[in-house]
Amino acid sequence: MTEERSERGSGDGWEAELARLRLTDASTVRIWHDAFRRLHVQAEGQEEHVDVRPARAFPVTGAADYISFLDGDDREVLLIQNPGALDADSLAALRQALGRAYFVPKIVQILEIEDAHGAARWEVETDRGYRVFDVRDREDVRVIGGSRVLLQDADGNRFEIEDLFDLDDRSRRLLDKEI
Amino acid sequence: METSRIQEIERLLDGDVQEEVPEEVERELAGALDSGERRLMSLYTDITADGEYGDRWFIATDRRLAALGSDNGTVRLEVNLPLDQVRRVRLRDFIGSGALEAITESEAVELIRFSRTIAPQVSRAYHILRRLAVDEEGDSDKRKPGGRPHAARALRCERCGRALAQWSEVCPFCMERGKLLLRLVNYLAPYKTVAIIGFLLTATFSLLQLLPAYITRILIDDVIAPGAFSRLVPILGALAAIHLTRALIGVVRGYMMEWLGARVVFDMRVQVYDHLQMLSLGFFSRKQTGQIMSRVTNDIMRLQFFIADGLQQILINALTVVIICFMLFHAHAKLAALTLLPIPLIGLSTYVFGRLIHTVYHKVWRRWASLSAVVADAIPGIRVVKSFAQEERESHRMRERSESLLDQELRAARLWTFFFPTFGLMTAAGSLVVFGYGSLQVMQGYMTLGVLVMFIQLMWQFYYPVQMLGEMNHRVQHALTSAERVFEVLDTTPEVPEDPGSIKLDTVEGRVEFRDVDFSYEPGKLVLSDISFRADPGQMVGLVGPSGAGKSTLVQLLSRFYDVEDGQILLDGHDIRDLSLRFLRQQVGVVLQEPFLFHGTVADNIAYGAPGATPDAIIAAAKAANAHDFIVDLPHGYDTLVGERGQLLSGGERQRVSIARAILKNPRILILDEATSSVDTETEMLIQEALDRLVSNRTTFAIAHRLSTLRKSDKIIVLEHGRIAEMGTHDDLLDGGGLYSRLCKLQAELSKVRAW
Repeated sequence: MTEERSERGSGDGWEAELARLRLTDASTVRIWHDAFRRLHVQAEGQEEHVDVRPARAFPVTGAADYISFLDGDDREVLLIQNPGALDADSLAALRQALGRAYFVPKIVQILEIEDAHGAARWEVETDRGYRVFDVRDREDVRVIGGSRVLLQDADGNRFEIEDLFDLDDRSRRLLDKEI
Repeated sequence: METSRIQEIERLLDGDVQEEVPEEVERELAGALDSGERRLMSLYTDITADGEYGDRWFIATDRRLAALGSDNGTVRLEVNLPLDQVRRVRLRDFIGSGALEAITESEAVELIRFSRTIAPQVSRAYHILRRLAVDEEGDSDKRKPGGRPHAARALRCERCGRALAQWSEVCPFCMERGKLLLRLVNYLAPYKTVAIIGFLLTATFSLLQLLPAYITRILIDDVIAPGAFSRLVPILGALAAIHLTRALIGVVRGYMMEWLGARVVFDMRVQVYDHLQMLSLGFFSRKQTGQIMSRVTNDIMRLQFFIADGLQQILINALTVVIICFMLFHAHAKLAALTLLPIPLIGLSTYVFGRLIHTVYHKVWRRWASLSAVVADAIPGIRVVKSFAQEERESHRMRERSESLLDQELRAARLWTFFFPTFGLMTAAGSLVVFGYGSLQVMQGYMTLGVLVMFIQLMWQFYYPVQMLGEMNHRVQHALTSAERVFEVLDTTPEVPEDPGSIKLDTVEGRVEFRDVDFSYEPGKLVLSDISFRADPGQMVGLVGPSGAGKSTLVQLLSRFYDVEDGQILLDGHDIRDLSLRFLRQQVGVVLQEPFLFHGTVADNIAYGAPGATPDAIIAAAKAANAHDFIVDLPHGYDTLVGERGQLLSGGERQRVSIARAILKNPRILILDEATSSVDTETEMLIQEALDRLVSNRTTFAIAHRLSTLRKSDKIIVLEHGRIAEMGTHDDLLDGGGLYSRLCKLQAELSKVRAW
């Protein structure tokens, strides 16, 4: 008991704890879709999991690239840390699945913001095309870390501005009134 | 596809799932469909097959499911799936989007992807499609009609189609400032007499302000210039009388206006608070407490300032400007025109300034709100802050927000300090012109000295109110913003509407029935689905399941904190939406895990649901709740004041007070939401004993994690992922070997450990 406690206190102890995260080495993992559009995931020499969905552990801050695979009962079956180590086919399958799981178009240009005290209609160009949306509350426009902006519209759609300083002057002027 | 099934589906169709499609889509469809094929659904969606924004249409007929995409105006049939191949449909929920898929013997086909904007329609379509597919988990007949369509809240403005601000029914785009001001002025209506007298006094006050200038002219031209000593005293007397009257009127008018402002704001505050109490629970769970409080206090206070001070300033200034104009033109038209020369410039710059300062003020206000939120967050959580030694972090958080507020405040200050000297410069330039031209006129004998002096006096009196009116602009803006926020609260209608024809039952037996109840907080994300069960009068129903399974949501539906999306909840055979909300909630008593005690005495708290209860009844209830003994042991007995959350009492004591509260209310239906889970074993026994007294003869819904407390239940419902996983008595379920028996075994093992 005492031994375990002292171990936890030290830095090495945490390393040991980390190992117990059941973190799987991405280079041993295969990911693919089947004809039923289900995602399969399997670590070398282990059970194959069918119909899983990928979930980012830090989808907003992107603090680390952990990707968890959850089964139909929302239980984690596998956790990987660096998807970059996946083989090309698996990476492509994962990208596709993540692209579906997180539909968050990136705003590249703000054309117009019509604002009337908090409720605003945004007209933007995104990486997925032109879009007009309504923001119900200024709190749905959140600035993270000074330059990233996350938005949620009245219907629950999400948008992102990766770096507001990369926007053109006019877009930034329009944005400035909202944040 | 049998005709009966198609007919059943056709009954469910409505405009939501039968949208009009453009002509080119119709043309493409005409080529693809067989003759005699019946179209059931057509739906627009906004994401293309490639995951880009674009137009796509989903069509369901009695023979196929199809999707058509548009590529630069050319419409193409992208999905064409015969209905007899479809085994199942499935709706997939992603962040920011969703997908509707059809599953055949050999594959899954993505029919459409859709953004959350389209989610409500697709969700409807999905529920109908489930009946079309060949084997929808074999339950296509189970869902019988009977549920009323969910009365969806008007989220969008009827005039412009824009989404309305959160929880608001007001569209700020369609709202006119004039109307807003009028609505604000309307609050003066009950005090018409005072308001009118105040206005008349204000008018007199303004007039009197201008008379001295006029008398000065007489003094110079008719007294000093001709050396008429005899007229000096009466003129001075008149001046003195004017100043005295002005002072008197000032006092009376000032008080009247203050009184008016205070009265109006009093009315408004009461109205807003009354309205807040009426609003549905959903409103409060969406808003931070600090924000709501800010509306009740700060915004209304700002309005008081505006009504008492701002409005009359505007009136005085506007009147003064008009009268001076008249006097100036009457005395010397040409010079008057020169005096007015800088006015357009002043007007324009005031307008520009107003827009700028308004934006900055809004930023200041937002940062102020965010600062308050930090305080409202950290102070109630101070114990956590201290126990994790995070005082510095909290200070830092506060400092950060403070700095950001400071930045914006300084920005506003810079605007102010730049604008007013510039304004002064403009008026000074104007005065130079008047001086120059006026002096020439006097020296050339076209005008008397008295008129020039009067002009100069009036001119200064003229620029001042103009400047003030410029300042007023932002004050009005400010006040209107506050007014808007206050009116937003007032205009929010409860999400749980009460039918005008709602009824009360004479006697309530307490029979509760859920019929095919679906519920979601957000469209498309069902929290509860297909919930059907019955509880007979006096029965006890235990609700178990993992957290997040929907147990608390289920009991909240019973009190109608939210309305079901599909299906019905019946009390004694009546849909609870037909019952008076007040009546319904009178029948339901709730004991929560974390009881909330109000600031007041213990007796007040026990009698909260039954105001006016006699001391006898209060004591009886306390005894039944096993609370009497510890209450009389308190130094002030039943008169002990308990704090904001009843800090003075221990968790178990607070719980027993809240049970006494429920006993005294004597409801037919009782909800115990983990009533015993946060106390020690001994206290739990006391509470359990009290609860046993409370539940007898009442229909009881008990949520519990400790399954032992549910052993006596007549029926146990095991919820999992918002569905009923198992239902039956304790013994039945234990024998069944399902989730419940697993949970029971787990707990039995845990309790062995606990015995230590």
